Amino acid sequence: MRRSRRRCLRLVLLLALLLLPAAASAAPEEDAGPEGQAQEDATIEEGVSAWMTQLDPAAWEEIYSLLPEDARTLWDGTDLLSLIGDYALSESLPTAEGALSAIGDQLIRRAKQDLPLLLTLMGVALLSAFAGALSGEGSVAKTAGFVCRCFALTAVLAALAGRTKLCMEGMTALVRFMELVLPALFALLTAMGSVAAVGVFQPATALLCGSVAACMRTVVLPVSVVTGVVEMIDRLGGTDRISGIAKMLKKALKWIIGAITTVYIGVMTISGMSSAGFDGLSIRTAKYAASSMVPVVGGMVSGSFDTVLGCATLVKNAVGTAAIFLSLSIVLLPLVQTVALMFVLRLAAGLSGPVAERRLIGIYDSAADALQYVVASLIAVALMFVVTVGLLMALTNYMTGGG
Amino acid sequence: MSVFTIVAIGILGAVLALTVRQIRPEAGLMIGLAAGILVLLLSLAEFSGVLDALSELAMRYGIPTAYVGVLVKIIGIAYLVQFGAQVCKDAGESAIATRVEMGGRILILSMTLPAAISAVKAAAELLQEAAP
Repeated sequence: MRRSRRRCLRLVLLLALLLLPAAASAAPEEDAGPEGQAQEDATIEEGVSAWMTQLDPAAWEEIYSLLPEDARTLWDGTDLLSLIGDYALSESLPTAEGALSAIGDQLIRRAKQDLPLLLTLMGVALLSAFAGALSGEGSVAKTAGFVCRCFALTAVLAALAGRTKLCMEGMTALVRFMELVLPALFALLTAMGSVAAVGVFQPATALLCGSVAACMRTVVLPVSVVTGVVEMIDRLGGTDRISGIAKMLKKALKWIIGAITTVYIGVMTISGMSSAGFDGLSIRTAKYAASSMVPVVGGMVSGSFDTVLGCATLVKNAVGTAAIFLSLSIVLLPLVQTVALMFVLRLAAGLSGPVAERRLIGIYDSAADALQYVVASLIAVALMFVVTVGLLMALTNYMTGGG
Repeated sequence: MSVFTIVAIGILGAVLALTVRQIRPEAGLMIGLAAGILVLLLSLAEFSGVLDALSELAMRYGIPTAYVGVLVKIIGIAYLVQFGAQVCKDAGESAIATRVEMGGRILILSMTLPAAISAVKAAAELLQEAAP
C-alpha cells in the first residue's frame, strides 16, 4: 500500500513537471513619448535657470566691459549671461570649422594690411642691389650697403615696436581677465560644494596670475625684444661679434617658457587629482545619508539631488567654456597680427634672397625670430589659463565620474 | 651709341695728351683733364635715366625718396672724389690726392650718419617700449 502511494505521488509530480510549465514573459517597456522628453528637457532648463541665479550679473558685466575693444567686437554685443545659459543647454557652441575659418580670415586680412611693409622691405633690398652695382667693389659699396641696412632696420623696428606693444597689452588684458574670472568661478564652485577643489586650485591660480604672468611680462617679453635688437644691430655692422649673446638668450628663453609651462601644468594636474576624490566622496556620502536616513521620501530626495547636481555641473561647465572662449578672444587679434608680421618678414627675406646681401636678409630673419618668442610667451600664458579652467571643470564633474 | 662716343673721346684724349706731353707736360695734363670731364658729363646724361628708375622704384615700393637721395649722393661723391684724386695723382700730387679722398670719406660719413642715428633711435625706442 505504502509503495503504491509513493509511486502514485512520484507519477503525479512527474506529470506536473512535464505538463504544467508556461513560458515566462515580461511586460513591454513603457515608452515616455515626446511629452516625456519635453518634460525632461523642461526640468533641465528649470534646474539650469535656478543655478544661473547663483551667478553675479554685475561681476560678469564688469568682466565683459573690461575686455579690449577688438575682443568685444568678436562677441558683437552678446549678453554674457544668456550666452552661458545657451552653453549650459548645449546651444550656440562654436564649431572647430567655424573657429578655424574665422582665424584664417583674420590672418589673411592682417597679412594684406602688412603688404606695404613687405613692398618697402623688398624695395630696400632692390635698392641695395642697385647701389652695390653702381658702387662696384670697395669701401663705397660697403658704405652704400650699410646705409641700405640702416633704412631696412628703421622700417623693421617701427613695425616690431607696434606688434610688441600689442602683445604686451594683450598679455596685460589676459591677466586682468584671469584675476576677475577666477574668483567668480571659485565662488560658483564653492556654492556647488567643490570646496576641496577650490582650496587646491586657488593658490595655483594665484601663482598663475601673479608670478608666472609677471615673469612672462617682465622677463620673457623684454628679453625676446632685446635678443632681436642685439641680433639686428650685429647684422647692421656685419661683424657677427655679438650674435653669440643673442643665441644664448634665445636658448634661455626657450628653456624658461618650456619649463614654466610644463611645471605649472604638471603641478595643477597632480594637485587636482587629489581634490577631485575628496569632493566626490563628500557628495556621495551626503546622498547616501539622504536616501537612508530620511524616512519615506529619502529615495526621492536622493534622486532630486542627482538632478540638482547635474544642472549645477552643466552651468559650471558652461561658465568654464565661456571663460575659455573669452580668454582666447582677448589674445586672438594680437596673435594673428604678430603672426602675420612674422610671415611678411620671412617672405621678404625669402623673396629678397636672390638680389640682397646676406646681412640685410639676416635683419629680416632676426626680427621674425624675436616675434616668435613674443608669440610663444603670449600663447604659453593663454594655454596655462585654458588648461587650469579645463582641469577645474573636468575634475569637478562628479555626476559624470570626474570625482 | 654714347658708349662709342665715350670710348672715342677717351682714346683721342689719351693720344693727344701723350703727344702734347712731350712738348709741354702741363698742356698734356690739361688735355687729360678735359677728356675726363667730357666723359663724365656724357655719363651723367645716361645716369639721369638710372635716377629716374630708382625714383620710380622708391615710389612703387613706398620707400621715402630721401633714402634714394642719400644713396645717390653717396655714390656721386664717391665717383667725383675718385676722379679728382686720380687727376691729382696724374699730376704727380699724391699727397693732394690722399687729402681729396679723405675729404670725400668725411662727406660720405656725414651723409651716412643721420641714417645710422635714426636706426639706433628706433632700436632705443623699441627697447624702452619692451622694458620700461
